[in-house]
Amino acid sequence: MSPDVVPYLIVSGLLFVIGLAGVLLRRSPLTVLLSLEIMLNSANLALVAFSRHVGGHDGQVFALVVMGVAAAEVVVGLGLIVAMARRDLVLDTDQLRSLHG
Amino acid sequence: MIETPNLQWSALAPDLVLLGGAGLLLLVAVLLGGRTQRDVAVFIGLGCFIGSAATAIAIWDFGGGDWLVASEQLRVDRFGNGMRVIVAGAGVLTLLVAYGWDRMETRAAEFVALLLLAAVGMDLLAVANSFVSLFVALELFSITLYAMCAFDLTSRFSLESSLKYLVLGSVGSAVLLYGAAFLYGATGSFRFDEIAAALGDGAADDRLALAGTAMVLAGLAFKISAVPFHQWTPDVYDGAPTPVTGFMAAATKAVAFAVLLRVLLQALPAQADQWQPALATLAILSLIFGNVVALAQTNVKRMLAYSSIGHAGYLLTAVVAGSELGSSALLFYLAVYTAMTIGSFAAVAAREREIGGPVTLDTLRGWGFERPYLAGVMALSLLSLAGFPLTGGFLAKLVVWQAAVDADYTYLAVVGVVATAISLGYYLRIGFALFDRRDGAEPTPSVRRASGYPMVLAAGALSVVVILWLGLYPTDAIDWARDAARPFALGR
Repeated sequence: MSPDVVPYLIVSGLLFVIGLAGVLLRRSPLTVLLSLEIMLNSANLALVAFSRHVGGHDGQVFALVVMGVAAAEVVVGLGLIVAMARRDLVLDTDQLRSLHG
Repeated sequence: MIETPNLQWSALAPDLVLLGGAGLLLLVAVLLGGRTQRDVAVFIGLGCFIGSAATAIAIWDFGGGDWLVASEQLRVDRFGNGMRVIVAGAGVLTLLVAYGWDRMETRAAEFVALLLLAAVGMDLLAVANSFVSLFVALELFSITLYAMCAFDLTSRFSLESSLKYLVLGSVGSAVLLYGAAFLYGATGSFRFDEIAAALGDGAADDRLALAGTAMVLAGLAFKISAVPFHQWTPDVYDGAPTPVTGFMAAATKAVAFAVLLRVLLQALPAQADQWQPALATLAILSLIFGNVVALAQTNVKRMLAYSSIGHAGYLLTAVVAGSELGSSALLFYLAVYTAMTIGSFAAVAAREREIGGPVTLDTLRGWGFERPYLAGVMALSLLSLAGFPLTGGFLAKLVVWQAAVDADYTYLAVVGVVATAISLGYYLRIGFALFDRRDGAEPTPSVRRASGYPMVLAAGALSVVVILWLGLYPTDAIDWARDAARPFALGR
């Protein structure tokens, strides 16, 4: 592997772990959504870095596509949070346990 | 002159029919209201699903039955078309079950539009030939399903299940995407055939390829809800509106398995030594865990959720075999599974509307005497899920085990038989509760007549026809499945 992409991959791996930790540990659904975005964007960084590594533009194009998809996902997520707030549900993932699981 | 991709519209016809219907329905949502809107929306939805299935059958042999279209991003082959027919069938049944749902009186057109869009995503996923089209199709139907799960905005269970599904489903997608990035780094392509070629001639970076394979498998295991990636399944199945649960349980699982098979056998056949043992482990865990935990459930929707985790184990057995027989067994199993899953959820939906609360073993007690036909549908679906002779479920399990034995995975077949014996414990418990006439077993009174009862019954009748047809006259269906699954085998 060409050495110039390795730092990018390390950063990307760190971001992925930070995002995953955020999803698992944070309690506010908003922060969880943010963490999901960090995970998707860490994958984007890896895609762009690999795109440079192997040559060609496929990875960069895919990264653009992923950004569009991530935006759509956040729209639904935020819509859900608004619906929950309207129903006066507590926005805390630890208390959303009426479905015992 | 700009070079444009070679887009064969006829290859996409089954999806375009659904997409057009979704667009039309958004107009209907604005122009009509109330019950007229519901009737028109369900009519358009049924027409689109039937049209989609018909076009998928019409283009069965186009392009030699193995047709690369849209800049080689999609592979429209017989297997993909078979999956399109299964998705359309699941859509028809879901519409019939959803007809009497009270949310359909106010928001029918939006719901049917979402259902059609989810089906478009599933269709595209079944014919994806690169990780780009795979990811976009996967997210198209996942995001639509998040919205469908939350469709009952007045119910906190519905909202909660949607949020859980969104968070865990997105983690699965992100892991899958990261794995795709690694495979791209290892092979320089997103296309399945080019990845397979690069991995096959040893030009790829082994460490990257291994990491990518592992993450892609983990991401897809989320979608098929195999143990240990199953935690979301019981909560989401339980909380989501029952028509949506039936659709999710049947169609999502079917296409997720279809794409798993495609990725493993068309992109990663060179890695078979690594993914076969991993998937065999997942299969054993799912078979044992799903069926044992289901025994402890009293809520019928949760019980069916654990049963669906158990069925992921049988289906994984067919994938692990990696042979033509295994792949055709998978397709046959998915067809039966769709019918019997929606058949059982149809009865649950009707009972739920009658009593206005969750369906448990207690509230089902004695229901068979009140509603013999629908209870009969449920009993037959459950017998088929348990694998009783004369039903499609029996034959499906048999073919899967035969494939496992042929591929030297006899222990998977043995575990499968044991798991089936365990599963009888809870399937029969529901059956006995339905027709329980002991003293003191007073049936829970129905507070109101189930709305849309004839439609639910029609869905049940269709499922029964499919289950019995595949169980009693399976020759044609097995031949079609063979025909469709021919390219899906490890070369050895």
